[in-house]
Amino acid sequence: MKNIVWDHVRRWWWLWLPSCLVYGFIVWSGVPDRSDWTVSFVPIAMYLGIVQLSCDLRRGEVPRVLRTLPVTAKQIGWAWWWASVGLPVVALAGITTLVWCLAPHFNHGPAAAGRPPYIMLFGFFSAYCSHSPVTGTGCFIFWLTNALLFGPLFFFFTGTPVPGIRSGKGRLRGFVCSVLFIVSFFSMMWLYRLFPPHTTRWEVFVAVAALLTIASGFRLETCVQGCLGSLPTRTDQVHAEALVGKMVQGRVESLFQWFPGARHELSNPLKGSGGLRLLFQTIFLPLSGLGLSMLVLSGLLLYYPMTAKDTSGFANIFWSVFSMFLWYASLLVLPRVLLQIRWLRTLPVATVTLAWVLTFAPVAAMLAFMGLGKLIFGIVYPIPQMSFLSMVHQGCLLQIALATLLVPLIIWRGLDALVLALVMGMLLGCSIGTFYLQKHLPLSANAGVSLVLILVSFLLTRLLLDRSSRVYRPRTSPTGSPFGLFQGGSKI
Amino acid sequence: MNEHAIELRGLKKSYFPFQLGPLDLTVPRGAIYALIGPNGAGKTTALDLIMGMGRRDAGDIRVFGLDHQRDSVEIKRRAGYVGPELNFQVWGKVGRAVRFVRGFYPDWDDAYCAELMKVFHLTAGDRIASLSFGAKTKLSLLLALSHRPELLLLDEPTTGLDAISKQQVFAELLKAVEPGERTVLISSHGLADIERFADHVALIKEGRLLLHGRMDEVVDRFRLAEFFTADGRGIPFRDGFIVLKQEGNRWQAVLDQQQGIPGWLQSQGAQQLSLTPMTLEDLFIALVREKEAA
Repeated sequence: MKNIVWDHVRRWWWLWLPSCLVYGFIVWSGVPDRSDWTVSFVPIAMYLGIVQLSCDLRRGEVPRVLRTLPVTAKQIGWAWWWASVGLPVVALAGITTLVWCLAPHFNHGPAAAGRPPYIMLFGFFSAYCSHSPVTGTGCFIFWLTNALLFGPLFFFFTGTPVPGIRSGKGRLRGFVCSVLFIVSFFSMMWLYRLFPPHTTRWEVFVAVAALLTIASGFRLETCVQGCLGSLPTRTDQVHAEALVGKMVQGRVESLFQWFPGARHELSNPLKGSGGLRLLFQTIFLPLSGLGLSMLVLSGLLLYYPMTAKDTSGFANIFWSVFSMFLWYASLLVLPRVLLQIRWLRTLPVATVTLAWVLTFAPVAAMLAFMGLGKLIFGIVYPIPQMSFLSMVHQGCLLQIALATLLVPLIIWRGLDALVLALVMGMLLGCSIGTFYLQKHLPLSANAGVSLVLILVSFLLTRLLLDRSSRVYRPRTSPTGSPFGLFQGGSKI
Repeated sequence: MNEHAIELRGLKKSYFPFQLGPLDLTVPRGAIYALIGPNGAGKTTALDLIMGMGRRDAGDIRVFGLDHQRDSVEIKRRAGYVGPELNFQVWGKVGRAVRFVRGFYPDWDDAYCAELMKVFHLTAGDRIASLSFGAKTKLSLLLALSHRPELLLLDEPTTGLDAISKQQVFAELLKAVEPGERTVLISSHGLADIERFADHVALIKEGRLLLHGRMDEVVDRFRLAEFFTADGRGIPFRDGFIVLKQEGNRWQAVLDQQQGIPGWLQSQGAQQLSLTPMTLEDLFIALVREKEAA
């Protein structure tokens, strides 16, 4: 069991590290006393716990090896429980204690405002952080709420259907658990409103979450037997992935055909323009469309919990976390184009032109998505709207510029562990940087830095396409095949 | 008009710990030139460098007399490439992938493309995500052939194909090069197919060229020899004499006829010498093993 847990940690340390840093940063910032603190639950619970196990099971390599080893289902189950629930809880406790012990030594609190930072790292934190002191009770409540999210997530996850379940009862149980698993992710955003600390509701949440955490231990063996027993062969998996790709594509197409002219294009895929124009469209349309959908969906989910406290501040906060959508949308759309760079390079197009399209198509898409998002928000939400220049000043353009760095990064290394760690670092940097720049960088400088960054992305892309041989090597993703829409197979 | 399709002069490229070259190779116009070698020999690297994927460390690459860097767009317009990259999912449907590539070639032949689709059992509406590996290879070939390129670079085009699909692919390739104006540079491990299909061959190992020339001349140059020596007498090693097996006084070896080895062997006391022709595959194994042993 110990070996399985350590193997898990060794393979996922690159995701643990930034997640722990983010968590430490949130505790340091005095978040437990802020009204918007519950939003920060999402990345911690997702990355530290069940998502890693989910990736392992999706990819199938780890369970396939485990099936051949002399270990019982119970041992594997407990190892999975420790990897997804036990260790994250312990890690968060350690970080919380560390931050709580360190904070007073760095003058964290009201007195820290306006003082020069002791060291750069904490200086960044101070620039962003609230001026609330890190209290022992606050830390404990924050840790307990965070820690208790892992158990229910694990409980619902272990109840989700495994391939091969045919009985009606099994399917029903699977359906209920799937729904609860999905709902539990979204409910995290609403947690503060649903279960405010120091209330009876919060106490009920703690009790139920604790019960589910314990209950998850009892279904481990059945879950593992189910997972390992019905583990698909590699061929089945390829067929299943192709089938899923086909289904998703079919659904998207059925939605897409409502757009003017799209029905004609779908029925005649040979008709229409090709070449670089199609390449541009292939990046532009999904990126702006996906970004916009994420923005609207998040707006709907966040509007209720955030405006209840501070209506006027919603727009400010919302556009400040705008970078997240840029990054997520870019991560989903760009790799599917960039990971076939080898083939693109065999086509008769100059390096500079290809680099231009690959760099500027995302910029155009993100600008379009920002403009459209603003328009939709103006219509849908009765909140004060920001001008375009204010949005640029808020750091939106800078975030777009930083997101374009994904292009040379993915071309250079594919989607390996280092790139994903860098992306998360940049995401963190973006959210801190936005608040910092808002205060310290004039609008013209903000725009200037953004333009320079876009130019750097373009030059790096061109340089890599022209000079590097590494970029043309076959690539794989460390998390299996979730990256890139409609991507079949783990080798991308 | 330049009579060579591809000229590599002193081509060098190194990745730690591998080094390609210095490689000198000339592919004549209209030839079907096979590049063979064990895994990691540098075949894909050589083809990549010709297509501008990565930059050479030293040497010169000329395609149709044009500089491969300065005139890369012109070269790629006149060339077609089929490689291990079969990830076309981003285009969704076969027709969309065709439409995308067609946009780059003004001389795209729609009628020929439609004909190839029929031969390869592909339709414009086929979803790429649900295509088999073989069907994706055929799609890749279709995209490379439909603009009737003067030069075809094929990197392992038949890997993973069944016997019938292989036959279809080679039949189409032969049809495409029939007029004799098109040049093919193919890298493959299917040596039996290569021996039938190609008219020139080059064998590379660890980045170095071991052997090259016309296919019939290369295969005819070597013979599999069986002979005996009297009283367990040894035979000294020399170039062109590759010992495959020795059991007592019975020997099995590969002989280079061009270096006069059969005559030399007899002078060394070889008795009952029998010589049989070799296949490209036998020759490949013997030459690669000899270098490994060395």
